[in-house]
Amino acid sequence: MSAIWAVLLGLFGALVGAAFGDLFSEEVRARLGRVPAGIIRLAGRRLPADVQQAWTGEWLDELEYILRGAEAMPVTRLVRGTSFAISLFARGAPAIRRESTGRAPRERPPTRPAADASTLASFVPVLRKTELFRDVDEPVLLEIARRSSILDVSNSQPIFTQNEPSDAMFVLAKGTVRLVVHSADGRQIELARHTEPAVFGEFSLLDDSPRSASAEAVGPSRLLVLGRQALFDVLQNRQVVEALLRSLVEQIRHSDH
Amino acid sequence: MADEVRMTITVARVLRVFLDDVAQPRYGYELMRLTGYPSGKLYPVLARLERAGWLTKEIEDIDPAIEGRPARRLYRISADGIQAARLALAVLSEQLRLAPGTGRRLRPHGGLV
Repeated sequence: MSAIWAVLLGLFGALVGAAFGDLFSEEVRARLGRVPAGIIRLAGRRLPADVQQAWTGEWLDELEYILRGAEAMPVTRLVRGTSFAISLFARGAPAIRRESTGRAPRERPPTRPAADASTLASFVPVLRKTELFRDVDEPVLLEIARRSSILDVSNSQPIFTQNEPSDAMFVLAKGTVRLVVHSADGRQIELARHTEPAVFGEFSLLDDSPRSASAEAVGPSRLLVLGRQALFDVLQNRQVVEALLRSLVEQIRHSDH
Repeated sequence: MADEVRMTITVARVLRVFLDDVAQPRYGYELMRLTGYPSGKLYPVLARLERAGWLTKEIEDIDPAIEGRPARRLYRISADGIQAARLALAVLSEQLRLAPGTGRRLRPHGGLV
């Protein structure tokens, strides 16, 4: 008699176990399925408000296709869906955000003329210390300073932006400037960092090509801005022409070795 | 006004898929498989191309209840996009063909500007 009860109890236990097992696995599946969707919602929060809803909706629908699609086994689909979501969170959303905010017009702050003689004179030693103008006489350097305007920028303020037309060259008199390019997927790559004294931006000006990189201040910085016409005017001076030619040749030699 | 598109290998590979069959709309996951790019790399490129007017986006015309899945967002290459992409790919191809000589090219003073 007890053996029959034991068998019956065993069968009952197996049935209950199977039923709970199914319920348990269903619940686990449902909860796991929500993980990538949750990550996508988090990714969406990293986007600017005006595009958040559109992108999140698109990604969630695409995720649904990945998770419910006929391809592969459930675990594989879950792994693909999670990978899809994590990649958007870690890389896609920040890149789209960077591009969206980067498109907002970021303009160089206004420049101002160097009004007094002492300010102008203070730029002569700066120009003298640069590689480009090191052999140019003081009166010519003073003329360059006189034809320049002064640009004061604070941290992260733009000096020029990638792809915009070139309108001036720059002499960094104080502070630090970094040159960056933006990749197709929105990443920012730093090409170079200049500390005073330095000259940059002259080549795009000479061949009238758009800026191939962006320049922005790293901390408070002061620059002399020499516009296109002013540069061509000072190029009437033989010393400046020689300085530029020497700089060109040095760059060619540098690129050969 | 459409933004300019900076042509890179990543952008070129995405455009290549569209140019292979200009009438064929593509959706995100399909493009991921065709290009081999993860979602985090692909979607910023799609966003940029759409903003530039090279791609257009539309919602798939299906009844989700009947199909049993949400409608996808379909990307198509626009007429302007076809022309611009072909030109840009030709230029990129030419640049890559000339790549061995570029090691000697002139570098601007202290950077590329």
